[in-house]
Amino acid sequence: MRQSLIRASFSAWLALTLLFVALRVLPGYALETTLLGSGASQRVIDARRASLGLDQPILVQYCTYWVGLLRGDFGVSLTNGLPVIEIIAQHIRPTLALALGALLVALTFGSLVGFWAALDHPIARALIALSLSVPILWTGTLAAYIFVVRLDWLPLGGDDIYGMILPVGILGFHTSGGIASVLAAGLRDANSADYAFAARVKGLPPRRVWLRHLLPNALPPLVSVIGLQFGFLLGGVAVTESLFARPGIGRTLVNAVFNQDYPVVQGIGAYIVLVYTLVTLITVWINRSIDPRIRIDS
Amino acid sequence: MKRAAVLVILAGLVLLLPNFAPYDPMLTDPINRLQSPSLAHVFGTDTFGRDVFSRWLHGGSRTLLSAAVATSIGAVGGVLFGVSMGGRFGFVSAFSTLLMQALLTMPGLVTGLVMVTLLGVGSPSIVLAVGLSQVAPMSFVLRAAVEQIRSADYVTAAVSAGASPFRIARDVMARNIAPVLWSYVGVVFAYCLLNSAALSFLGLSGDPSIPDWGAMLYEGRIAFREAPLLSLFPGAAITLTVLLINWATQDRLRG
Amino acid sequence: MAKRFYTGMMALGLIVVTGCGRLPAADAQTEPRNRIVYGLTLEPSGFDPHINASSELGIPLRSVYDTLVYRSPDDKSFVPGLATAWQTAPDGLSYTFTLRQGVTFHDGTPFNAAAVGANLDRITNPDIASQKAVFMLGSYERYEIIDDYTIRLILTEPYSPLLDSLSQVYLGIASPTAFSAVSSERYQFHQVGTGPFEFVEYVPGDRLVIRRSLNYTWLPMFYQPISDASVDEIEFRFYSDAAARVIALESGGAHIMGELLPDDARSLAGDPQYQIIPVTIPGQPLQFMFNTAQPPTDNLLVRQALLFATNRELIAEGVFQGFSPVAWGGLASITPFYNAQVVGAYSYDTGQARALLEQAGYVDADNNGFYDALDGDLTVTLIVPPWGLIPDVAQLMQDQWRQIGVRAELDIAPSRSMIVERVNAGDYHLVAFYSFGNDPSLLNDYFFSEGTLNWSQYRSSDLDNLLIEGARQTDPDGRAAAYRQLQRVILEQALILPIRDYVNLNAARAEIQGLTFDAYGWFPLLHNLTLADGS
Repeated sequence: MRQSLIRASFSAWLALTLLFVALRVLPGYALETTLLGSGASQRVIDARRASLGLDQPILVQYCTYWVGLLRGDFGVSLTNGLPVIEIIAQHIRPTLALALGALLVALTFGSLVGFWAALDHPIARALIALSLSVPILWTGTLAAYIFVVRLDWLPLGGDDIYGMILPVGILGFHTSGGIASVLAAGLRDANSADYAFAARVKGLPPRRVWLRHLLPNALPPLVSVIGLQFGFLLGGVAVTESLFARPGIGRTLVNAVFNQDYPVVQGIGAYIVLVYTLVTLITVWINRSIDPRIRIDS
Repeated sequence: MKRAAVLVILAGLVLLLPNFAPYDPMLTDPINRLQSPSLAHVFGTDTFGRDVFSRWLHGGSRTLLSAAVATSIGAVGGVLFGVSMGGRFGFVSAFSTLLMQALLTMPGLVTGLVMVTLLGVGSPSIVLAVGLSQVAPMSFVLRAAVEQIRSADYVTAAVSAGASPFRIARDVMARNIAPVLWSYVGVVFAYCLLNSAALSFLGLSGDPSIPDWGAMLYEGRIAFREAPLLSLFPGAAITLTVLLINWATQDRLRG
Repeated sequence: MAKRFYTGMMALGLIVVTGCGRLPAADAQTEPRNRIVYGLTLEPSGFDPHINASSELGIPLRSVYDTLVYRSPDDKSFVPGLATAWQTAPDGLSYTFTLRQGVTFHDGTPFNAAAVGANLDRITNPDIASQKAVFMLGSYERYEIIDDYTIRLILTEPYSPLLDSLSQVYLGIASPTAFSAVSSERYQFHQVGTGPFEFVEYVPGDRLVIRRSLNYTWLPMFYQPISDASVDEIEFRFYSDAAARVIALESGGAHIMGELLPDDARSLAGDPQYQIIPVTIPGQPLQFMFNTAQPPTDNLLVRQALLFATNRELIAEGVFQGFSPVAWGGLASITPFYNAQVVGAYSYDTGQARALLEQAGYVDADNNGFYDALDGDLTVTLIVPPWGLIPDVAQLMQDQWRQIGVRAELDIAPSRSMIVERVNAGDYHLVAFYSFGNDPSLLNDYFFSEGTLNWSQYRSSDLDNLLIEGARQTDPDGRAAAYRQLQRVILEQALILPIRDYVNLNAARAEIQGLTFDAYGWFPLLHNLTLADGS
């Protein structure tokens, strides 16, 4: 466990440093050359540099960056001057609602379809294929067209529960594919293992075999893939929020990218790295706890 | 074999599609904007009265080509870093491994977004960003292949026989790396297509008049209340292409 | 710092939120009464009218502050506000205001000449770094307090736009007690004025709330008396995503929404549940400025050709769904001193366009449909911001110019600072902009030879003199003559390509009554709002 912690921290550190290089150092140089070449007044150049903190030597900037990260100070937005951490705090609620809701849907739907697919049902396999290959932007548009325009059952957005059904459902559906697929594979693998054969020979009812013996062995890779799917979820959130006009951090990130608002992109990027690392660590920890092989060993 | 066929089909599409366009994809006619499909305009017209079918054809060619370029970028970068990680090059290997691992800590779309921030909006930025974001995953796949090389019989034989490094490298490329690349190129192409469409969909594709499936999806989203069908055609095209590729590469995926 | 850390931890940690459904308003201790939600379209970087420049902040704050004078929404004449009378000295160098008596700020501070003076001190204080208010004072130098209710403003030279400036929310009178008690950055969260509404709170990113003041003892002549149906409390929320605005209106999230997209407005127009209230905004219409320093637009013939090649009626119809009138000159048609003779100038005529280009010496030798230039086709670059449907306008222009053989490239500049950067880099031929205001002196920054916004790079002492004349002349006829000539010259030299008068498409639910806007077009007269049959 400790090794995983060290490794995860190191990866996170490296990723955050990369963010620093990509969004502080590089744009800084790019900005300098553009501004100098354009003959902008010295006042404009200096103001711009100061606003990005570029007038300090690189190492000082790097240290300031880290101190800031640990304090939750990600700088201020170049477009409206608000502190990035406040921007994140303001927009985090719709994103969390969407992400947690979608994760819930993905787990429920994914587990059901995974079980079903382990039994080799073709419809389940088709659902998994659909979930994995069809792009969210299309299913989202299609679902919006059918349920909002044609049938008028649901609104196109909004904060109430009706407005959440479509985005949560779509995002959840697409996240479920990976989960279902790995669960199905894990169950089938477990099914063909020795202990499953032994359990059946003992005359245990099938359901007991599935739940008591096969499922615990199929869980560890499942937990890992949930961690991975969380990464997919974070990416999918940006598209879903744009599609359904939800004011979450996905949209904020996209707007910041469009405006080349480096501090905001850096801040949200750092936040995503940290959350993702945290989730990965949690999945490793869960795996350690539930893996029956490890429990037997210790 | 399936894969080669799909490759040929896609290349053919890129070259031939625009020739079937009945109208100039840039010709505007604002009076007849957002019309439903009709005999005159098979897919209807967009926000500026341009023929959607013609834009769909031209856009398809452009989108597929962009995805191919992005895939190539990912492949080249993947080979470079895969070799760098898998071979025993000391500090270079260690650094490459760290770099690639760090890149994997961020979801693909987010990496792409960060790169577009740096490069500014526009189609070239999207192609570059998407291609570069595929380098890390590809490099890990290739690292495994490269590590196999070290213990491969034919390499030990060639080295002890005193073959020139070029010869060894060429054989290595052909026997170890190329097959791996080939087997993953479909998946990478699909990812590149999806991610570049997503970035265009989010509005980062620059000049909005240039036809492109992702940009058409963006336009369709803006005009969704007035003309919901606008998004369906490019979306369906992307989906079908991805499904086609997945079908061709299916033997690699678990069921 | 600790606060930031905990905010960060909270955001970083796994908050289990009741995402579905909004939390009820935190200030539930007071009854809602007649409470509505008003949708703003963007959140400005600050809400202090003395410091910040956004027009958005004026929408709520216009009703929190009174100004010395008001413009009548009907005929734009100046009517008494916090000043009951005023006199201009014959040499135009001083203005004497007689102030209204018996007025108090919402915090109880009495309103008098000293208060006005304190406001002027605050605005002109360089530490405040006022972005707009201080510039609106023009050649103002200092004030003199004659007595408790009389104040005189001294200018270094005549400045006719002064009254216009004093009628705007940026020079609203705030309570000196309030702004002295906090730092200049914090004042925006604790604002106190004398207006019909009191400032309650501003939560960045979430809402700004104002509540009707019970101490409003006088009414400017265009305010209706209150009734039971009057709206008591207004919560302003932010909807920067244009697509979300109509959704909020339909789902009941907002009662009033500004800046609807033309397509959305059209789809609501037939629905009896909503009312569409288009308001034309005075000022400079949406237009492109030509860069006269960069070939090929340094050639007058080329500029004129591009003007003739643009089918503006089609653009107004296609992009703005007929909600906006075509603009023909440098001022919007409802702006004071508008010269109506500009209408029809450079009317769409592709034949003329081509003739002018050929007269300028351009040919299409390689017969590819485009005129030839030194390195390829005749190409112009347009700097295009992404808001206000300007990219749509640019795309239509691009296609129209293709018909006459000119290639146009669109350079999307995502923010105002980016626009300024690209302009400073010099590599452009047209740049889009618009501005708002009732006094034509707003043209100064854009057309003065050394103006900060002289993006046309056009330098002419004749133009400068006309601008100076317009600002100095106190006689309205003299001003009118100067500005008439100015608008003519701008078109003769083809410095701009006007597109459309800016029209703010407001929409409100049917139960809202009394939604009217002031003379500047942007700012609603919230005092008059009533809610039919209760909330």
